[in-house]
Parts: sequence; structure tokens; C-alpha cells
Amino acid sequence: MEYVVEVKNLTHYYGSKKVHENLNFNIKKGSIFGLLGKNGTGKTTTINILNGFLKPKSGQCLILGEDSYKLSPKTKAQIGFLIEGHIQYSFMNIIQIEKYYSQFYPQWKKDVYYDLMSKLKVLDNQRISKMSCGQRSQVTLGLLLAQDPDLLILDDYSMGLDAGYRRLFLDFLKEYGKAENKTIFITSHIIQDLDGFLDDCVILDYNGVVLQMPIDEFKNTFKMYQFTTNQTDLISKDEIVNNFEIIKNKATVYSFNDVETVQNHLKAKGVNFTDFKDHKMDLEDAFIGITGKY
Amino acid sequence: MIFSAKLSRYLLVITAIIVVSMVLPYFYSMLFYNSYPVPRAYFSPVSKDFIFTKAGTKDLLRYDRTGKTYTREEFERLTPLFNYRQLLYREEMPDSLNGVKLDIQDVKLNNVFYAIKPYEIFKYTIMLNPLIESAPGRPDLQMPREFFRIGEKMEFIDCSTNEVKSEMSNLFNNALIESGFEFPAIGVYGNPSTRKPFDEGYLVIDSNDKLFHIKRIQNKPFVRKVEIPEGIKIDYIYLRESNLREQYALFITDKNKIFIVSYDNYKIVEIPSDGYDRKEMQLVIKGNMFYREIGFVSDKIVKSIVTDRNYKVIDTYSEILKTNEDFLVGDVSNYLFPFKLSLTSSDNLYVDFYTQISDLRFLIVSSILALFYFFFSKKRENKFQYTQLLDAVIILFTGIYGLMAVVFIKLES
Amino acid sequence: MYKALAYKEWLKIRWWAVGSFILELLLLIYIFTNLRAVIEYNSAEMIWSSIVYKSYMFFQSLKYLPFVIGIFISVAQYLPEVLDLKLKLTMHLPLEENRVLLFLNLFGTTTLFILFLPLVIVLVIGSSIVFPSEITYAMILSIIPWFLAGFLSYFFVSAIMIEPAWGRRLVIAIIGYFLINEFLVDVILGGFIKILVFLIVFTLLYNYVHMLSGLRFKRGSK
Repeated sequence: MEYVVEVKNLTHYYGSKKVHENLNFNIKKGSIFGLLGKNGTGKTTTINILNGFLKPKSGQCLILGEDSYKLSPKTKAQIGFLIEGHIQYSFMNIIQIEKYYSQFYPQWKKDVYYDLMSKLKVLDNQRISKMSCGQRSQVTLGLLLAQDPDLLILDDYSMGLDAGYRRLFLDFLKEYGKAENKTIFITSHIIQDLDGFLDDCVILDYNGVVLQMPIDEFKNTFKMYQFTTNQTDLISKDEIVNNFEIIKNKATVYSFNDVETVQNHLKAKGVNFTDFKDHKMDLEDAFIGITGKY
Repeated sequence: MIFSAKLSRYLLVITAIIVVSMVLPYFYSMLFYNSYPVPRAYFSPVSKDFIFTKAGTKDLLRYDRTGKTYTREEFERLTPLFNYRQLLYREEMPDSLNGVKLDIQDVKLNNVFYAIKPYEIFKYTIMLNPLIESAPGRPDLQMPREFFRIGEKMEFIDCSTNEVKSEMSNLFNNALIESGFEFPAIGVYGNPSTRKPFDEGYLVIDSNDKLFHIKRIQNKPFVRKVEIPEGIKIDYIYLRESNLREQYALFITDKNKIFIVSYDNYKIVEIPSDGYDRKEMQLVIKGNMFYREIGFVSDKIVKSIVTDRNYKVIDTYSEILKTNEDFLVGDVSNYLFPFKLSLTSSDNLYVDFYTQISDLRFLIVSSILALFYFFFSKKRENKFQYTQLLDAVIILFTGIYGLMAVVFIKLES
Repeated sequence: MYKALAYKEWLKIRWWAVGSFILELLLLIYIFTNLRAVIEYNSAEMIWSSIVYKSYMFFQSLKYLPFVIGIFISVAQYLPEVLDLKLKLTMHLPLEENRVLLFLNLFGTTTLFILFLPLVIVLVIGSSIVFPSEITYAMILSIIPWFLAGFLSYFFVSAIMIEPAWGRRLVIAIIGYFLINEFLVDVILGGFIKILVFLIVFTLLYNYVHMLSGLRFKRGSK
């Protein structure tokens, strides 16, 4: 099994606040991996560690077999990196920036970049600082695709983008990922677009890792049940009930267990229910279900 | 990357130590040091004893060796030759003193007063000087249009054109060669001002440490070799023209000896210089009809040697002054500051590393600091690193400076 | 690849470099026209006297210019890298990070050298025309510390900009202030002669001072 990224027992603190403790995950070659979580759960911290811009308190992070803090230039050439907010040199225009980056990567695909640029309605000499967020995201995307790296690390591709550009970005990425077995590591707090895009995920909340499993498995095994009851105060989080919500006498329960197990569990707790329904969830629903609305 | 980062860190640490060792003692002295005024010594021809002035808290104090104080008028009466103007005004000027009739013009003529400060000796000099025409045929002296240098040869350079005046240069150059001058000159000393009664040109030291007198008389060279005692290396010459025409100049040697070049056929006379250190003390020469007072003054010592007009010693006064080092503030500073650094000095016009190293007392404080630091950082990091040891050693030798530097410039916060 | 890096650096600083050059030009014009006026108003020998005996420095107005230009070039180079932490982009390039940082510094110092050299040359030539070599030599001795201060201001501002923690930035700034102050202290002509070589070597070592900041940037030090 070829792992492009291996995270072993990663522990890090942000000041005194624990961001992760003994985080472990691996990313296989060719998979599209998502690090999901609400804002402030430590996604950017993880990305920074992956990219060697932060030294973790303990643990190890290997990228293409090398310690992420000490990546060799050769390995760095194989990694495409997107900074949160599509940060690029604002003083350059699209021609200058392509000319600049192309000299660092021998396998640079100039046409791919200009193909994308032609679709953008920007002037040749327009500086990046004078572009909208969406246009900028296309420039950074173009640069990444032209670099043609084996591993793409994208820290929140969606920041500042409206729906159209978000979708565009993902469309291109999907193409790219499939094309030559490229590996993509992406973080985001906007879940809806990633449905159908991700293969695998790790979900973080404010206390650490809340879930680590392939997307399909997650969507298939995580269920949302709704029912009416008067014994709302008897419902609590336990080994069956992963999360729950109560509005008046309507309860919503999230669980990895099947209908029978859940119903039995509720009855055992003394909860009488009526109108028991099993709802289908998309990725965003599942995400909210497991992390909670707050 | 860690190597360059470490180099970078130690660079900053060393610089921080240098900076703090300049700044901290300065602020300390600003806050805690008092200024101790330096007394001035005079020899009274009336009482035949020393009398002093010193800045007091409000006024000028005037007192003698016994501690008796004097008013301003009393003081002036005791130093009539120096203060003749005040006494004349009050009609208190004596007609005679020590059996000699006092003619005011005579008194004026014989009064001498000049001082040579260390920084006048120790400074970078540009060896370009104007050779004033000493016999202009007019009552006033004029600034010449050219400056001269004595390098491999003597050259006069016209100031307006920046070109060498070859005729004049050759004339003077030949005169120097004839008198046995060894080029280049290593010192040229004179009085480049036109506000003087007449001009005596320059006293020049050649490469063999021999002394020459050079003048310009009706645009023709005047060169005389001045015989000085064997083995003398002159460090500085003070040449000032005076109507008294007693001495051409006074010179100071590298062994702190003082000589004058007299008008009596350039006779060299040594004057008493016991205790003089040209690097730290001001040389103050006072003189009148009867006496010469040779004074050495610094913030640590005041010494005055009184002689007759032939430089035979009559009396001496020496006083070690109290400085901040003699008080608690000075003691504390010795413990606290392993050394004090300054790039400038009041005695020297060169920029250099002027260090004042404390006696070994600072080691007491710095070793305590070093130990504290070492154990504290070991505890904090929970492991032993060589950097901690090195840092502790730095603190041992540089005390509080090192501590500040090492703490504020950690590799990792 | 370093050619590309140089290209980017040039894009950032080009107008600042041109502006500095123009500033130098204006200053030179000022210095020499002022000198001419001063010589005409007084006499040449009076000016020579002032120089030899009173340390009159006709080039005095130059004193802070290298210092200011050092700051300009450093800000022009590093501000775009530091805003939004764009330095990460540079560090992510397939190059040795050490070398990249050293290269950025080398680019800046080379720019400064190219800017300063003509200034020195014109001053020396101008002075040699009007004054004898002793005075020109004393002038050179006097201006070298000012140019060293220019390089130092560049080094310090770079280190401050790259440094991620504000507290440490303040510490570096304070050290830099006092250090550079010593290079710009008022002295007589030629006063620095005794320690000039030491100061030059010391300044050369300072090419490395930003490396600690670079390491701390990578570590995400606070």
C-alpha cells in the first residue's frame, strides 16, 4: 500500500488549547482526502504542519516518505500547495506569475494554465491585487494544474468564493484527480460541494477527531432517525446515540446503528416514540449530524 | 538551516551584549552618579601657598590648604597678577610684590595660561596646513592662498585650483633636503591663525623623529634643525606665538615627559612632569612674572607643581579626588557590570572600543545568575542541551548583559 | 531557478531602486552646488581650514541616506512576502530553504551595493577635483560607516519583517537602533579609522542575521 501522506500520533497545542492528540491517518495514492471541521477546529494548523510551517509538539508527519518538516526540494516539486484565501503574489500579473513559477517545475504545463486564463475575463497586465477573489482562485488553480504535482494540498479552497467559482474549482480538481492517479488533500468547512468528490475524510471538532472513515462508509452507516416523544429528557448521548436534537416534542437522533438497535435502545431507556422515520442524509447533513449545529 | 540560525542567534546575542553594556551603565550613571567638581589650583605670590577654587552647590568655593575659605575679593587680592583687572578697577592693585615693582604692561606680558587636553593629542589629523608669511611688511598677518603637505616631498597646493605650485614647492623642498630632513613628516605643529602678534611657522617632526623649524620669510624658506635629546619621541607639540618670546613651543613625549623649546637658540629645557599621564590628564600651564605652575588635572587627580621662572621646583600640591567609584554606587556598579563599553571617549577623538573592566567582583553576581539560568532553563525544557550550557557560560562572563541577551533572544520562544 | 527568484525580487523593488537612485542624484547635486556656493562665499583657503581644523564635512547631508535606502529596499522586498504570510510560497518552492533565504538577502545587498557604489565614486571624483587627496581620504573614512549603516538597516529590517513574533521584532528593533546609532555617531573627520576594518567584518557577518527569523517563521514560533 503506497501512502502519500502518513500522520502518526500527531499532538499539537495552540497555546494551551489542545488541537489534536495522537492524530493518526494515512492517505493512499490517488485518493481524495478531506479534513473537515468547523472554523477553529484546527484544520489550518494541521495543514501548516503538513507543509512544514509548524513544528508539532510531538508525533510525525511523513509526505512521500519524508518528514514534512524537512522536505527535500525534489519532493517539494511534487507537492502543490494552496494557501487559504488563494494567496499569491499580488504585485504580479498573470503573465509574470506564470513566467515566474514555470522555471521551478520541469514538467510545467503552460497550455493548461493559459487555457484556464483564456476563460477568465482579465487583461494580460492586470495585477492579481486588482482581481476579484473568484478570479484569483482561478489563477491559483491554473498554477497548480500547470505544476502537475502528484500531491495537492489545498487549505480551504472555498474561502471567499461564491458558489459558481467553488463549483468550477472542484470540477477542475475532479478532472485532474482522476487523470493520472493524483492525490488530493483538501480542508474545508463548506461541506455541500464536497459530496461526491471526496473518497476519505477526517472530521474534527473542538475536542479533536470525531470521525475518521471513508465517505461512502460514513454516508451508508451514519443514519438520521426522527420521531415524536414526550420523554425528551431521557434522551442522551451514549454508545448508540451519537448526537441528538430536540425541538418541542420532535426528536432527531443520529446513530451508526440500524433501526432495530436504536428502537430497542430507546425502549430500554423508557422512551416512547411515535412516527419513527429513517431519513436519508447527504454529506452535509451527516456532517452536521456528527458535529452538531452549534 | 539550524546552523545558520544558530550563527544568526549568537550574532544577535553578542550584539545585544555589546549594546546593553553601552546603554545600561550609561543609564545607571545618569540615575545614580553624582558629579564631583574638580578643584582648580593656583599659587598665590602673596601668601606663597596654594589656593583653590571649586564649584560648590550654589557658588564658587575659594579655599586654601587648611580649608579656610575666602571671598571673591580676598581671592583676587591673593592672586593679583592673574586678577589685575579686577584689582585695578577697585584700586587695590599693589605697586610692588616680592620687592619687584609691578608695571601693568609687564604683568600682562608675563601672564601665561594654556591647557592641552588629551583629545587634542589623540585624534586623527589631516596633515595639510597654511604656511603664513611671517614677514609680510604689513602690521597684520594674512592667510596664504595655499596649504602645504610634507609627504615624499614638500608641496604647496593652491586652494582655489587644487594644483601644486611647483616653483614654491621646489624651493622649500630643497631647503628641507639640505637641512637633512627625512621625508615624510610624521607631525606638523603650528598655530594656523592670523590672530596672533607674529608668526613662527611650524615645528615639524621627520621620519627619524628629528625636529625642524620651518618658516616662510618673504616667500623664502627658513629651515632650522632643532637639536633634541637622544631617544626622544615627540607625541605632541604646542606652538603659540607670544610677545614674551620666551619659548617657541612646548612638547610632550610618548613617555609623558614635557619639554620646552626656548628662544635661547632653541635650547631644550625639560620641565617637571612627575605624575603626568597625557592620555588621561589635562596639562595646564599657568605662569606669571614670578612663577610657573604646571598642573595635571583629571577627574581622579589634581596635581600642581610650582617652579620659579627657571623651572626649579618650589612647591607641589597633589590631591586624589573622590569619584563615584569610592562610594556605594560605584561598588554596586562593580558587582553589577562586568565591563562598561563606549565607542567614544572624552579623552580621545577616535572611535574605538573604550572598555572599563570591573575588578573580579562581578563574578559573584554573574556566577549566581549563570547557575540560576542553567537550572531554570533545564527545568523548563525538561532536557539538557548544549546551548543551555553555552548560554550559562556567556552569562558567567558577561553577567547581567548576557542574561538579558540570552533570555530575550532565545532560539525558540 | 534562482534567475526566476531574482526576477520576482526585481519586480518588487524596481521602482524603489529607481527612486533611491534619483534621491542619490538629487543629493549629489545639492552637495556639490552647496560646496561651490560655500567656497565662493568664503574663500577656498577658509574652507580648507574649516575642513582641516573644524572637521567641516561638506558631504554631511549624505549621512542618513544609505540608512534610509536600506530600509526602503528591505521593505520593498519583504513586505509583500510578509503580508498574508506569502513567504510560505517562497519557502514551498523546490529549493533548499536556507539557500533561498540567503539568496533573497544577497539580492538585496547586491542592489544596495549597486546603488551605493556610484554615489561613492561621484563623491570621490568630485572631492578629488576640489580638494587634495588627504581630504578625500578623510571623507572616505567618514562615509564608510554611513554606508555600513545602510547595509545594517537592510539586514535588521529584513530580520524584523521575517520574524513572526511581535515581541521578538521589538527586541531586534531595539538592538538594531542602538547598534546603527553607533555607526552614525558624530565624530571628527576620519575618527573611525581605528575600528573601520572591524566594523566592515562585523557588518559582513550580519548578512546572516535574518536566518534566525527564517527558522522561527518555519517553526511558527510565537
